[in-house]
Amino acid sequence: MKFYSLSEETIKIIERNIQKLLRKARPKCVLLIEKSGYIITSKSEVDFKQPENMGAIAAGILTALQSTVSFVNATELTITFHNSSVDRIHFVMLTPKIFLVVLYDNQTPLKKMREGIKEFAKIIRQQLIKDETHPPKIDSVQFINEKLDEIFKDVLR
Amino acid sequence: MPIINYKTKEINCKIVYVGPSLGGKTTNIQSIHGVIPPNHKSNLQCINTEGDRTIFFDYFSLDLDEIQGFRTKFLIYSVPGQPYYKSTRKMVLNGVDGLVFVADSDKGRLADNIESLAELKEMLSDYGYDYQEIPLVFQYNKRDLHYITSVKEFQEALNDKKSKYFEAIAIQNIGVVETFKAICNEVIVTLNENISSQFYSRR
Repeated sequence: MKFYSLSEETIKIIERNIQKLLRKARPKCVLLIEKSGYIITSKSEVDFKQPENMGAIAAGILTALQSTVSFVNATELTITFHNSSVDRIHFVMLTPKIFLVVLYDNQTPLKKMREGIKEFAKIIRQQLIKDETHPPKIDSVQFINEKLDEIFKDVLR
Repeated sequence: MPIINYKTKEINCKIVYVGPSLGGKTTNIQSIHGVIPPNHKSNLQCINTEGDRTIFFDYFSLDLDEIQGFRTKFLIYSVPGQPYYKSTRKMVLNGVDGLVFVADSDKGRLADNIESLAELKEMLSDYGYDYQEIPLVFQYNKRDLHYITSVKEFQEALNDKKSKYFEAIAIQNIGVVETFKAICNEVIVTLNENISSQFYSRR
């Protein structure tokens, strides 16, 4: 089993650059997601119906689109909505496992948005590649089992 | 591939329920979701057809709170079982850390169970997983039916890697939580072993 660990420093760099992207291109929402559906970090002014499930849904959409059409070497794709408060959803693959989702309206030209994202992606890709963190060792699964027993106590009685 | 986030102090693991169509994968997910206290879970997301068959996936996350300084979260998915959703099943398996194979005990469906497992092995191989290594728990569901495949037959037909197995009647919530607990446990044990061998044994 492989695993991916992101250091505090990497997350701070990502968040700092998200702020920069927000100032520069004014997107409505930025999500950094791992392909399993886990949201690494996010900034949003959009009211999602189920915010906690957005990572799984976005990962599903991206993978479904990628399997529908062959993008060959493309690392970006945009979905355009019409007559909506959010006009475009832009996906960018940062690494084979991590992607960025940016939601924005028609006030921001696509070109300007892509320029901002390109700059962001360049910095973050490098950081993700060089990040090597020693993951925490969970000394005993006993704690996990105890927690699960507590959660399911009414059923396991 | 578990994700460890040092800023939010979270460990995230992905568990997927697989198996033949109408075997009880969604029933398992709904049963587990139904008994977890609200403060530990996200909403259950089901993307279904009009006839309530899973078309994309079922999903929710389970948050175990802080354990040894880190929050452990399980992202729980089930796949659509119908044969023509093969590409969707493969998509959901991307990045999986643990699997529950929900087998249908109906005697007439043994071949479907075998075919479903063969497809799973093929997909895991495509993603570069070693089937013998990935955490997997079998659930022999629908034990309340009259004409059922015996546990011995199931073990011989499906369980060549001698994984843990549970008999269940998911619709009555029997064996569901036990199966779920077992896969969570296996995922964490495997994660821990891998961390130890890759990082701590070198010191």
